[in-house]
This record gives sequence, structure tokens and C-alpha cells, in this order.
Amino acid sequence: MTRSSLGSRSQRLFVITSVLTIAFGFAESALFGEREPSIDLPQSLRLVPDKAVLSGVGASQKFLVVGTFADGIKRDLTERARFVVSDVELAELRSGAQVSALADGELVLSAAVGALTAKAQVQVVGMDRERKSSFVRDVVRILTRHGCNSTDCHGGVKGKGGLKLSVNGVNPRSDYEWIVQGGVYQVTSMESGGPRESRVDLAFPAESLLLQKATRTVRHGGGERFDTDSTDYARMADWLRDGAPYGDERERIESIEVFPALGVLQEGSRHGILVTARFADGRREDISDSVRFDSGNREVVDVDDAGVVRAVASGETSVLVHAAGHSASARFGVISEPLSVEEPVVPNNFIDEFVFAKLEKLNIQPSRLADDAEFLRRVCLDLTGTLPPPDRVHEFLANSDPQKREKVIDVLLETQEYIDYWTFRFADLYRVSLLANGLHEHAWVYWQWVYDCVATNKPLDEIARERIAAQGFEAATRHYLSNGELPRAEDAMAEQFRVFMGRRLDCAQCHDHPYERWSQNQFWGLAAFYKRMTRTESGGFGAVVIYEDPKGPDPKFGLPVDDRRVIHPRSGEEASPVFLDGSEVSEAGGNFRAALADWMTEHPFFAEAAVNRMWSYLFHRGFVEPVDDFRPSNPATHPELLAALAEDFRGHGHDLKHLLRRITRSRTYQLTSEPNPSNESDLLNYSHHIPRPLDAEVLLDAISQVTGVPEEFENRAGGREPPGTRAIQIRIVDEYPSEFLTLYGRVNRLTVPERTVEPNLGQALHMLVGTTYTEKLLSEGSRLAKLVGQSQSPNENVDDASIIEELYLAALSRLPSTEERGRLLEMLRQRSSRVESLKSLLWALLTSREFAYNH
Amino acid sequence: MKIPAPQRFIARLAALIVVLCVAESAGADAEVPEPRLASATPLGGARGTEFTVTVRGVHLDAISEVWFECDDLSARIDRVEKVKRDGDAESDDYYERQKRKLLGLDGDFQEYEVTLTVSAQSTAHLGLHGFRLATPGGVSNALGIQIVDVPVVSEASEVHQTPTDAQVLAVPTVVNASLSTKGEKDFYSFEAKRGETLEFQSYASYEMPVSYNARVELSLHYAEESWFGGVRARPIVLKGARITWGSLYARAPWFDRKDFAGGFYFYPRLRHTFEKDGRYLIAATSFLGQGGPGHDYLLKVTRVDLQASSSSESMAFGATAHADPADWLERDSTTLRQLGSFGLPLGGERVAELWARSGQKQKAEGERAPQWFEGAIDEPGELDRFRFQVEAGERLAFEVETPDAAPPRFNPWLRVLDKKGQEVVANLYNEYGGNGLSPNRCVERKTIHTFPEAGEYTLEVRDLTTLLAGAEFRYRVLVRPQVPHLGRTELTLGVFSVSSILVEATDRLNLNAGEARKLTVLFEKEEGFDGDVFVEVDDLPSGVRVLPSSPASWTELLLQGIQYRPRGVHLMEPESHRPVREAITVLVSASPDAVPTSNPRFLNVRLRPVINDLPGQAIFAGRLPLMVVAASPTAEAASDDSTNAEAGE
Repeated sequence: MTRSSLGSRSQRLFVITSVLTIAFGFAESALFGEREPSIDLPQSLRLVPDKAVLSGVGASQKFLVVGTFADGIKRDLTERARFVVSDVELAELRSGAQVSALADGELVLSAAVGALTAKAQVQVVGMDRERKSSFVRDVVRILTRHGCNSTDCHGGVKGKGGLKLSVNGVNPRSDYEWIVQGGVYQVTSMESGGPRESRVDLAFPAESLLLQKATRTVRHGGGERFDTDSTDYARMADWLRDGAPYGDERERIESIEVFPALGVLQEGSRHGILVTARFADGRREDISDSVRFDSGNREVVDVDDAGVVRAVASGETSVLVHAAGHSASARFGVISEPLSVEEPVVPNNFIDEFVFAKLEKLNIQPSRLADDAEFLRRVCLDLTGTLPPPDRVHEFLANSDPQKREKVIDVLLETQEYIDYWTFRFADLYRVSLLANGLHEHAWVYWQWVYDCVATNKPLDEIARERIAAQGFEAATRHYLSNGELPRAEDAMAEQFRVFMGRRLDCAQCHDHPYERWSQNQFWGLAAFYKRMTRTESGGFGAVVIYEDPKGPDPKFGLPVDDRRVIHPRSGEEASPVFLDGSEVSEAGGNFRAALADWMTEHPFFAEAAVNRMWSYLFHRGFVEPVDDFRPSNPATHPELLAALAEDFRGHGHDLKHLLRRITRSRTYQLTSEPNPSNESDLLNYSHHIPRPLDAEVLLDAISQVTGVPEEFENRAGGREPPGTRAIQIRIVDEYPSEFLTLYGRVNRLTVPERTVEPNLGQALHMLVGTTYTEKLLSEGSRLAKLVGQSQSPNENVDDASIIEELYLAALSRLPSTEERGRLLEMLRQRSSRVESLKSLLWALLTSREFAYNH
Repeated sequence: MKIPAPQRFIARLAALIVVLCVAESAGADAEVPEPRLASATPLGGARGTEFTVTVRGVHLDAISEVWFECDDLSARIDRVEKVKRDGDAESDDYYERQKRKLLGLDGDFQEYEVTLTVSAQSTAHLGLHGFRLATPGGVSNALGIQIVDVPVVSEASEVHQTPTDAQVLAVPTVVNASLSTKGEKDFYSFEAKRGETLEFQSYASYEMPVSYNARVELSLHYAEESWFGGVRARPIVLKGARITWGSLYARAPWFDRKDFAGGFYFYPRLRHTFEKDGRYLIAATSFLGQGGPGHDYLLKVTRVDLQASSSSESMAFGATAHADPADWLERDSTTLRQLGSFGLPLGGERVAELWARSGQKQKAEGERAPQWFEGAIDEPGELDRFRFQVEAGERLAFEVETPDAAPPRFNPWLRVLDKKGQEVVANLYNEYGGNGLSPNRCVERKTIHTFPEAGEYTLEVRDLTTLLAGAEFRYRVLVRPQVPHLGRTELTLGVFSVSSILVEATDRLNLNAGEARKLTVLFEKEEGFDGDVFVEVDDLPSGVRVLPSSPASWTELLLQGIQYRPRGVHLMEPESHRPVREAITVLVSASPDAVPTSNPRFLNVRLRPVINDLPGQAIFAGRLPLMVVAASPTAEAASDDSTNAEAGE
């Protein structure tokens, strides 16, 4: 980090912004002018897949030829390769590198680029078996490939033109009924909104509405999806001629795999995508020709219908793959020019191995390690929300122990400030507030529960269980008393799922999720785990006891407050608890919410979501962002690292301190925020630390800490917090109004909070004239008043250089540079009022970005 | 002269209006301000000692007596002074506003400060002793003085709001202290040894209705050097419930607490077993950071012998020294005092006690013997089952006692199942519990049922939750024949607020000569009691009499609180566990020539059940402090005029 002047931070940020702007400008221009990169011969070659089984009539497999080059990049050489099959009686080569089955047997496919060759084993089986048409296999794939069941067509919430299909064919059975039996879809009812007229004509297949619409023989808002000469038309017509059978459920795809998971492209180069389906019986099938591809960012890569990706401009994005019933993605990084590798970076732990491996793939050089001052400030703010005091900075800088970073991490994890800060963080996430918990006392005990969880380092799965399955008058139950009332089952479930599983199911409440595979049935199946949750209030006001009534809703009570039945809005029937995977819980007994809590905390989603969220607290973004919006169409930037961290977290008993220690000890975390030429535009790969604004509460505490003047917090009842209370220690936040905190983005905890700190005019005005930035500077007892001798307990004989140094250490956790020191001393000499000048210096420090950001 | 009927009616009406107008103005003229107390500082003292108590209030200039509820305590009046006020500086202060509300004052007023020297006998009962002051204007409301059996110290005059300047305490002790400023957090330090269990209790000034915000919150810490600089108090994470819903204010004629009788308590009895020797900190602050005049508290720190001690979560510190003889607990969630009733002992004398309130001399022939089933919910989700036999048509009552943990922590759920496992009765009902406004399921400590069929039945006992359990989840269920009897009683002088529903009742009767006040006696008919009920009032001073009246109308009772709606007004289906609630209003009247009393005395009210025209044993319903205050000549004249008007008709 350059520290040539006081304004260096803002200047640097400006430079970064400019670089990004320029980079985007290049990207834009690249759209209009392609450049073919020069490609040398590869060092090695391989065929992907290296073996394949072609099963049944019409089976085929697409191959890619991938060469590994001296610069470490793997490039798609399929277009340049020459192919040969060892037995043309068994299989034939079609366009490009697609091998189609002819007869049972085994053969070898060879590919050659220059002098290099690669081989793949191909087995052809089942050519004697008749290939029967199938809706679940053939038609759903055709509908998916052509986008008929996409969210902006018939897969939308209301469908189109009365036809509603599940998104990407996730529910083929209902799709089949709407097509074969016909009918007009209604959002709020299972019944048809009009006469049921089939969309297929088995007697005259070509007269089927299904085909006529797709070929636009009749009017079709979606236009022509394929023509009558196409393979898809022929396949659909065959299905109709065969009597429009639904087919075998075993033909449903169980999962899909995409190759490459991560591709590195130079601008202008291309790379094919292979999509392989896996079935329940272990069979694999190439479905690359029956999926739909979408680029996540067409300014970075473009993708055609055949799945060939073209690099447009440098950056990183995903290509989404929509297959029948499934979505997946491949991530592509586009690099401008390969960089020469400087000295190798030594990983501190497995986090670095994953991060640096990807950076290497993307030809991005990670920044250097942060210096001690930068590291100490960052790790103190991240672990404790507190700036290191000047004497600790001095001490740390002077310490020559090579293990001092690990040691200070350990020290910070055991401080009271750690407990205060993470209680604040989790009180945010778990929504501790008067309005969210109904009563002051409820909010108080709920906050206390959060505090205890942090103070005792309670494993996160235990915390989750206590919160999800809370019963009685215990503190964790209080979050179920928003405004003093129990939440609706669907709201309670959706929140827990979002908080602990990182998934947003809310959309599926009213309809199948428009973008994802969550169905309305799945949503209500999960919501039903809350149908037995009820309450008593046997004593005085607020003595609410939450419990599970094993009898469920009891007509004897017959009151709205007791009607906890969970009714599926479309079927009108009471929903039964069903996990996402379709497994059910016996209605006979047991605690539904406890079962849900166990299932959730043992599910891979749980650790993955937790790790992602904690990572985001330290890096300002998660692998998946937003952190609670995991979905196939929003893939992780580092899926392998996410999985490895989740596994490590699980393996260490969901220990949050272990996780924080693991991350903060990594070299990745300890990289400087100063970018190098190769990573200036990288915001996704942790090649350098991305500065982020301090949260409102942390910023206010930091100002109080630097000025030495604690904030006074007065509540709506006229009471005050004890002197010295920090913003992060306030327990019932909505009882303590604060203009500063509001301006700087304190969140409303009525919903799961998302902190987004956007600069605004109010902040600027507050910096200029607000009490926080002005009145604390030189008030009685302040740090500056003591330094300049205007306090009752002044530090006598403090010279200007020492004052400048202390203010720098207090605010920026570093010493002023020689240039800064010299210029400031000169400024002080020239000004008539020493005190006013120092006050201005302190103001300038507090309003600088270097102070207001964690970097 | 014979006056025609219409004119006679008009004349009567005119006479009545004149009488009412004169009476009203006479009442206004004759009003002798009654004394009202706002605060007493400190809140307590040790028995066997003398200590100074400063009482503040209005109309205390002519104080004649300090009236304690028993002879354990006595007081000498040292000084009565006017309180100097600093202009209107505090006029907007929350404390001031609440004080005005408490004292019933709108405009400016003169506050007085009375300095008392209180002597507590060495044998004085422990707990809260009520006291009142008497003046020629009558008897005041009551305040309490906590009598303790450990040394009492005063809060240090030096500021002790940080761990480093904490006031040093020697255990055991009680500290008389106050939160004199908003946001004040008082630190005290003490030594504790490894394995030692200490108990910390606070008792806050409750006289001021600021108590909701001023509730004292205790926290236990140890001091540590912070890496970030300075010494800070590090909270010790405590086990057990953080919060208790308790009924601090046991019913007593000495304490005027009708606004709310239950509430949350933070660490009401904070106990901790220390893991190592050391100096620790206990901090006291106000929930929501209140502070200022009147925000006094007592902090008690004692050693606990775990072997000898009960694990009760009840609020021992602050409990009254003397139980109210009229405090009959039945199961009265609707009066917001349900929680205390779960601690009601269900011993062998229970049935005899019920018969004593039945109006009948003895129990019925051949009545079944009571049965007790005891146990504890040791494990989460545990279901305890007991079998018992029933005759056809038998009417049984099921009562449950939870001597340790009680609702809302332990919520004993009773279900009676037939041979097929079908529930025939349970103790879970819809009630206007909680805030009294919205229906909720409530666990009741008693339920009754008439069994149409003979046979073996099963009593199932569990906690409402499937997560909570432990040794403190003890219970005892009494299965007994139903006994028709009079249940809970309550007296009210009835100053009602429609808007708040809550009764703003007064707890004393200061009657001017010639004045009358309505006194309503509320009572509950339990388990099918269908006899008549009469009110008896004795110990009346000379010139005071009680006139019978009609039963109180339910509309009026509705204003007294939704809990008192009699049967037929319930919005829900009839529920077998509910009593029939009724009320009788009588008129307490002081004749114009009633002799003013110089000291207060109790007016004792009893209910006498009458079955088959035979009066049963009198049941103590309550008592009220009473003083007859000298009436002004105008009041007497008005009374005379009234008499004359009636005579002249």
C-alpha cells in the first residue's frame, strides 16, 4: 500500500476504480472487435472423456480435445484436432468430435494435434434393444433445450397461454398432464381454469398443438422453437406416434456434470462444454446437445447453442447449463495476456492452495503479504470490531517473533471484544430487537442467549438446533415472538432455511420457484414441520411458553390463534412434513421441529452456508453472493475451497473459532489490499484484500476510541446505557435511536438483515457538521485534549511529532510516513493555532477512507 | 296539602338535585387531604438494629403516627420538612411524571420529607414490612421496609462505576444503594473461594410505577486486563434460567399493587458456584438504563449451602413478612397470579380446608379418600402415568403442585385418559390469560371432571415441552372429590378506569364524617357451590356502619377487569375448570356525627356461606385500613339539609 500522503488511500481507491473502469472499457470494445490469440503447440493432449459407453440406438458422445500448454493453461483444441475411430463398423464420427453408435463392440477414438495424440475408449452396447419414446426422457429434454419451460416462457409463475410447465422440467409428471390431458393452469388452484383439451393429437400427430405451436404452424407467442425438418421435431413426432407414453421414471436424470468446471480462456479463444447426465442405475449419458446454455455475463464470455464458449473480454463469469430437471454451471475466467510467474507464493494452509491454484489458472499474481500494521488493523477489526490501541501497534511492529500473527489471532479470539463483536454480528443475523421479539424482556434474554453462545463458543450446529427447535420459556424461543405473536409456519421455516442453509425458498411459497428447482410442494412440506408449534401464556403478559402440541391443531380450541394448520395454497389440503429429498416424518409422534433441526444441521448445505457467511464477514463477499442465495444459477467462485472449508468446519465440530482461526491464518487473508498489475481488476478471487467500509456500529466505536470520547446512548424510555458502552454492545438496538448509525447503514432486524453500506449525502453532511465528527475531537477528556494539555489530566510536554504519531497509530494503526510527518509538521509550523490545526488533522484522519475502511 | 303526583315527582327530583349539588360542594369543601407516600429510603435494614428511613410524599405536614403492620418494627418521627424543588428543572422528568401519577396530583404540589428512626426487634420477621403514616387527613398508602438477617451496609459515597473502583463487600451483606443517575452501573467486589456458591439478590424500589424500566439487573463478572487497554469487567456466563416470571408482590393488605402483580426478573436469584479463588464483581444497573431520585435498590450477597437449600426459583428477597390471612389461592390465572398458585402445598389438610369454606359442617358420607401422585420430569419428553379407579358419576378434582420450578419454566400438563387412551379431561384451556385481552392456551393448576363411566383411568403428567426436564421439575397431583366451596376473595373500593381496564383501586378508606363509600367483595364459587353468600363487616368504629346493597352488576364488574366477567359473559364455550365469579357491594357509611379516629384501624370483612338456610363458617375475605376524618361544618350542614328534605316530603 502506498503511503506517500494523507490522501493516499482515497487516491489509491480512485486509481482502482479507474482501473476497473478502464478494464470494463476494454471489455466493451472487445465485444466489437475479436482478436484471435496466438497459440503454440501444447505440451500434452487428452480426450475428454477418456472413456465412454454408448448405450442403445441413437446414442452418441461428444468429445473435447484439451491441450495443456507451457503457460499452464488448458485450451480446447477440438477444432484443430484430427479424429479417427478404430472400427468404423461400430461407430461413426459426425460433425466435430461426436461419435455415434452403430453396433455393439469396443473401439478407440484417436485425436491428433501436430505430433501429439490422445485416445479414448468407447464401448457400444444395447444396439439390439428397441428405443422406445418417452416423455420423461425425450420431450422434457426438448422442451428444456428450446427454453419452452424456462421462467420467461411456460416455466414462469403463471405459465403462458394457459400452459404451465415446471421450470426446466423439474416435475415431469405434472408437465405431462398439462400437455397430454390439457387444461388451463391457475396459480391458486389445482383445478383447470378452462376445459381440458389435450395438446396432443395421437390420431394425427402433426396436428398436435404441441408441434404446431413449436413450429409456429399456429400463432405462438414464443415464436418458432424448431422447424419440421429438425431432429427434435422428428423425435417429438415419434413420441406422439408411439402413443405419447410418459416413459420410465428411471429415465429421469439424477444429476449432471459439466466439463470444464473452471475454464481459463484468453480473449478471443473458444472452449466447448460437455454435459453428462447420471442416472439412478449408474449409467452416464452425454446430453450436451439437449441442454440450454446461458452466459452469466456476455461481456466476459458468450456461449452458443452447441455449448461453445467464446471469450470476449477479461473477467470471470459462469455459463449456466439448464438440463431436464437440473441446472449446473461452468466457470470461465478470461485473461488478457499470460504473465510471467514471479517468485512462488507459499501457502499457509489449504485455503491458500485452492485460492492460489485458481489464481494460477487465471494467470493472476496474488499481491504481497500485508505488512504488520495493515494485518494487525485488519485482524483486530475483523475479529473484535475494535481498532488496536497505539501501544499494541508499537509492540506488534517491534516484535520479531515469526509466529506473532498466529499468536495475536489466538489472543484476539479470547478477548471480551471478540465476544462483544460476534454477539453483535449474530444478534444482527438472528434478529434480536424489540419489534422482532415482542417485548423488551424477550429481546433482552434472546440477546443474552446469543451472547452466551458466543462466549462459550457453542458449536454452530448446536446453536442452530436450539434456535430452530426452541421450546419453553427459554431464551432462544423468543425469536418466535415477533410482535408477541407466533410467526406463520411458512415464514418461520423460510427464515431458518435462509439463515442456516443459505437458500431462499420464499418464492416457492406461492408457486414453484421461478429460477430454481424448489417446488411449491417442497416448500410446504418443509413449512409443515412448524405446524405443531404453539404457545401458552399461562401467567402474566409475556410469559409465553412455546411448545410442540403432539395432537396438532385441536378443534376444541377453535380459535385463530390456535389454528396452526399448514395448508398448501394450491391443493387446499393440510401439508405433511417432508424433507427436501422427499423423505417424510411420521405423523405419529416426535418433535417435528427437532427433526427438522437435526436434518438441517446434518445436511451438507448447513456447513457450506455457515462457512460462506463467515468468509464473507472477513472478505466482504462470500464464495456465493448474496451469502444466503445459494442456487445452481448463482454458483460459488471457489466451489472446491467452499467444500473443503465446510468439511473442515464440520470435522472440527462446527467450531466458529476454529474456522476464524483457519481463515485468518491463511496467506490469502493476510494479503495486502494493494493490488498488483495482474490483479487490479480482480474482485472475485482474493488475489488481494478488498477494502470495505466499516459497519456503522464499528465505525462509531472506532471514532469514540480514537477521540477517547465514548458515545452516549439514550433509549426511547429516557434511560441511558452505562458510560463507555459501545455501539456493538447495545442489546435492544431499536430502542436506541441514532442518526449516525442510521446514516451509516444500521440494519432493521425485522427481516434477515443484509448490510449494504452505500455512501450518501447525509454521511457527507454528517462528516462536515455532525456531532460525531466534530464535538468529540477536542471535548473534555478527549485524547487530543489530553495531548495538547487542555484536559484536566493532560499529558504534559507532548511534542507535535509525537501527537501526529499517536493520532496516526490510533486512527490508522500505522506510523505516518516520512513525507506525511514532514508535511504535517510544516503545516503545524505555518498555522497560527496549533490546537485548531491538530484538531483539523484528527478530523481529516477520521473522515479519510483509510480510517473508515477495513483494508 | 296534597301535591299531585307529577309535581311530587318534580319536587322530589329538584330536592334530590339540590341535595346532590350541596353534597358535592360540601364534599369538595370538606375534603381533608389524605397523606400519600411516594418513596422510602433506604429500602431495608437489619433486624436488631435502629436505622434512619426518609419518607417522601405529600400532605405529610401533620403526621401523627407511623403505623406498622406488626410489633416487630416501631418508628420515631425525627423530622418533617418541606422538600425544596429546583424550579421546573425536573418537570419533564419521567420520575416526576410518574410521581404525580402515583400521588394523584396534576398541578404544583408541596412534597414533604419525613425522617424516621426505625427500630427492628432482634426477633423481627424477615421480609417486607408494610408501614403507613397517619395524619388528620387519614391513613396513607403503604410502603415497605425489607428486614434482613445479615449486616447492612450503605453504598459508598465514592463513585464505583468501574471494575477498578468497585465497592468492596464482605459476604454476607446487604447493600442499601441507589441508581442516582441514568445509566449508572454500580460495581461491588467480593472474595469467593473455589467451590463456594454465592447467591445474589436484588430488591428494587417498587413503590414508583417506574419499576418496569427501573428494574434492577444483576450481572456477575471478573476483572481482567484487556489487550485493548484498561481493566474491564468480563461477564461470567451463568447456567440456568436467565429470566424468571415471578409474582414478587404477594398479596397483602399493606401493599397497593393492582397495576400489575407479576413480571420478569432478571437473575432474581443469581447463584453461582465459583471455579477458582479470586476477587469477583457483582454489578447492579437498571434495565433500560433508568436512574434518578427514588431508584433505590437492595443488593443481598450470601453464601449458599447447596445441601440445605431449596432449589426454588421464587423471589424470596422482597417477599412479605406476614402472609395475608385472606390470601386463598385456588387457581386463578385470570387474575394474573396463576404462577404463585402452582406452589400451593397440597398436603393432607387440603380437603379439610376446602370443606371449611363450603358452608357445610362435614364432608359427605362415603366420600372417597384423596389420592396423591408424585414424581418429577427427569428426562426431556418424559411421560409419567398413574392409574386410578373411578365410580360412575363421580365428580373429581385434579390439582397439581410444583414446589420447585413453576410456569413458565415447568408447565405441568395433566391428561386423564380412559382405557382406550382417549383424553377425557386435561388442564389445558383457552383463557384470557396473559394480557387478559387475547385468548391463549393456559395450563391450569386445577381441573375438574365428572366421570360418567366407572373404571380404570390413567393420569398422565408431562411438561408442555419435550426439551426441558430436571430434578426441579417436581410435581404432586392431588386427586380428590370435588368440594363445593367459596374460593378466592378480594375487596375493592373501586376506582375504575375504562380505558386501561386495570383497577386503580385504593387500599384504604379515609371517610369524612357523613361520607359513604361503596365496597365491593368479589368471590368465586368453586366446584358447584350454589349456596347464598352474605357479607359481614366487623371492628367498625363508632358512627360507621355498613349498609347492604344489591349484587354488583356485571357491567360494573367488567370495568374492574375483564377477568371478573361472570359466567354467561365468557365469549368461549363453558369450561369446567372455571369458577362462578360473583360480587356483592355494600355501602360503608360514616354518620355526620361519627367521631374522628386519631389512629387507623382495620375493617375486617368476612363472607358467610349459607346452605339450606344454615349459615356456615365465616370466611375471611380481607381487611382495609380505615380512618374517620373530621368533617367540616359545611359537610355536616349539607347532611342535615339532606335529612330535612327527606323529612319534609
